[in-house]
Amino acid sequence: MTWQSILVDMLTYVFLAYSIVLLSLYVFIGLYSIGEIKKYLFKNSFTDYRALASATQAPGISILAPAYNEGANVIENVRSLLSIHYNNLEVIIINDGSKDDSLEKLIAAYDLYKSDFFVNEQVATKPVRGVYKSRARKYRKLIVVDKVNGGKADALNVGINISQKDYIVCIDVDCILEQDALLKLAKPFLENTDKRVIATGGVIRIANGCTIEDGMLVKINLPNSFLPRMQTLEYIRAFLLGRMAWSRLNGLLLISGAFGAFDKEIAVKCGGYDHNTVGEDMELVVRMRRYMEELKQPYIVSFIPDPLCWTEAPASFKILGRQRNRWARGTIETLRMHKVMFFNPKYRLLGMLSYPYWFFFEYLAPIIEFVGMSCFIILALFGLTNWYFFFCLLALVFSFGIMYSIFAILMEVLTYNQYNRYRDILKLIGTALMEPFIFHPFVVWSSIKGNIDLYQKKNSWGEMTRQGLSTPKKPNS
Amino acid sequence: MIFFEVAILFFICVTFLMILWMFINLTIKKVRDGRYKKLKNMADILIRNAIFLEQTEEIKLIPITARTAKMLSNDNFRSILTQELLSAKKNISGTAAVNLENLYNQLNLDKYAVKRLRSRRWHIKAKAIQELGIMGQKTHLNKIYRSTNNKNDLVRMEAQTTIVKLYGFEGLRFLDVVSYQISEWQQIKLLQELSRLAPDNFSGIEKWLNSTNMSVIVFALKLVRNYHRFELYDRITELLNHPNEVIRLEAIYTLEKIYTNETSKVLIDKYPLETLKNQKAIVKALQDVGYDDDIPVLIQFLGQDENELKRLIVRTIANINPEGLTEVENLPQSNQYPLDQIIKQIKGELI
Repeated sequence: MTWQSILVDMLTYVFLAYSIVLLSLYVFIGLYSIGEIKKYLFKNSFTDYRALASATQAPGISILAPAYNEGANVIENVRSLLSIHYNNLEVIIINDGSKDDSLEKLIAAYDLYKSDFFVNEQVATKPVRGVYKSRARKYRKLIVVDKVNGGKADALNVGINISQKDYIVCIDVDCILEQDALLKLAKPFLENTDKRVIATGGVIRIANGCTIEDGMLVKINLPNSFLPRMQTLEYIRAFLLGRMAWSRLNGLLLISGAFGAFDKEIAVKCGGYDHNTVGEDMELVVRMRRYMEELKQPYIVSFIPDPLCWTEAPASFKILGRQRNRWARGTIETLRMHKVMFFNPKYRLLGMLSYPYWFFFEYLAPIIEFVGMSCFIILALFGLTNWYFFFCLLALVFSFGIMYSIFAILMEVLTYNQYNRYRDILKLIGTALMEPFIFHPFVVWSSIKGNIDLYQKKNSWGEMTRQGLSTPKKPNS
Repeated sequence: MIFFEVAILFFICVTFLMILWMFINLTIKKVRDGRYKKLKNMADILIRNAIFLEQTEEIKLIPITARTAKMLSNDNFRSILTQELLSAKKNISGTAAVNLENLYNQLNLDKYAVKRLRSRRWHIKAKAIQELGIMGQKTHLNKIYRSTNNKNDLVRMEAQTTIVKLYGFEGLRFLDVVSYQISEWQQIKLLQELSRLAPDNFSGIEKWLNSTNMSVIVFALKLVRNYHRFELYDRITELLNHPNEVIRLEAIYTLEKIYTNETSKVLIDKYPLETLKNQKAIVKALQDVGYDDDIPVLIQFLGQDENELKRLIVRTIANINPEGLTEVENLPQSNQYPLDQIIKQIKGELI
């Protein structure tokens, strides 16, 4: 045996072993999520959320919605938030130094005045220019904060400082919420008697292609465009299977920044959102968990499989690439900041399972995939590739990936069944078949670019241009 | 290499089976939806007739067609009819609601619910309990009461809610024996059930305030404040010394609702010994129960570092007497951050 063949064999078996462990974990996640979803659906089938909406004992919730250059839709988005039926609620819109006329529009539409408001700076932020309240009683729940631009994390921290309630719900201002989303998100905080629920998240769905009128979701449709449809499948898989399984293990490290609820006391004690990372949503959850572990206090990070929030997915490769690049950088930054937990038994499940999983299979997976493919190409150039083995391994990974996606679609059909036309299911199956060849390589490449950008200390958020979700109304005939 | 081939073949077969399952399931759902609409229509007609029936001495029974009677042996129809009856019953009251209960009894639907009550599957059992409660089936009290301390939290919660729904304040006697903690969510549900009833001078509350189950004490405190049980004032003040922080907090909230001339003094005495959260609750309570004489003490409390507490104290002073703000303004630190800004905000709130 030559050293080259030893090297090739070693590489091959390392990649094979990694793939087998990864696929086994996916099987475990898929199967483990079933029990949790079933339990939730049974429980949900006889829960009356109306009890909470009007209860005087309902916990106080502050919705924090940062807005940057959202002038085009901000009035409608705020109206949608104000229409949420919940007794003990305040809606805080944080204008993060927008360059457009967002603030002027809000002042005019909601009859706002600049009030003397003491901003309790529990978390350090960029300066607040003014706090606005409405003269109209019907908008008494609304607070608009104008601040110097500092990014999403900084805007959310200002929201935390302004908030007067016990729980904060952080959302993207352009998200469309289901009518009972807040009630469903608040319930886990009230259910547990032996452990403190420090954060709750819900399923985010893709709104591209859906019919939206006056900030309300009227009809659910599968996106027509290619990329949003790919992301629809990806979100079903990630939220319905991945997060439910991690939630059952109480090992969830991420609650989407688009819609999540937090226990404010713990969030403040942890120092709020970290504006040194572009993955501020994941970082806060990890820090809150770490804080609770270090205090040795029993806690839960809860997750709800109900689709609660609808968001616009990037529809172009350029914007999607920026998003995935940012996600990759956010993951690495978070893992770096909390590297002390890596296989540290002091942090129990968090240190021994959740963190290593994210390190090996979220952070390293695209790198290993990229390096693996590169190695095979180099070996092929030198004529050292066993082509049969190569194609078998590729077919194994692809066929598994497709099977896992089909399993996710099956779970969707058996549970929420939101895309219930035969045509939609066929389209989703087609998407699952295409994903490994088009979408997945692009996501891997964006992630690699994220790694490179981080190495080169490029830490921009990346502009996320959105097309807007409102469906144009048909003129009356 | 055989490993790869077998594995790939296995994945492909599983994929095809799942796709098949998906389409079979979708087809079944579509067929069932079509049938469901038809059956629901029949059930709705029956329910509508029951709701609008004017019962007289002669007509006690709700008229049922032969076809509907025959359909009752169909599990699907019975399940749809029960669901429709339950959702109708939840939204109406008065004679129409009684008519729906009568229809439920006339069709012996309780018999099926009792059968499901014996199920080992928690969600079936819990749903059956809920059904019996909504349909006012008092005859099954013993079976339901036994579940109020069930080890499954959802069965237990439904049983507790149902007992209160059926027996009102008397149903709260499960609090004597419940060994599991009652969640905040369940407490909200129970209080909501009780809010539908005329206030009653119910007994047992003294015992619950001495319970070894912390959540029972918390719930009893909520009952005391919701139903203004002034006679328990002394016991509530004793609970301000309880080792559990949550119970002390609830005791503060309760004293805010059943206060006497002495309450502000009692709360102020406890203030230095309390946690930050409970200190905030005391200061908030003083907005309702405080007097002018308490203002100098409150001003003394401003000498701590917690800004949120400072804001609350200034707001409380302004609520007790707006003139009290002048005293705050006379403080040497009133021109410095954060007190200067807090005073500005509170003055703005007074306008």
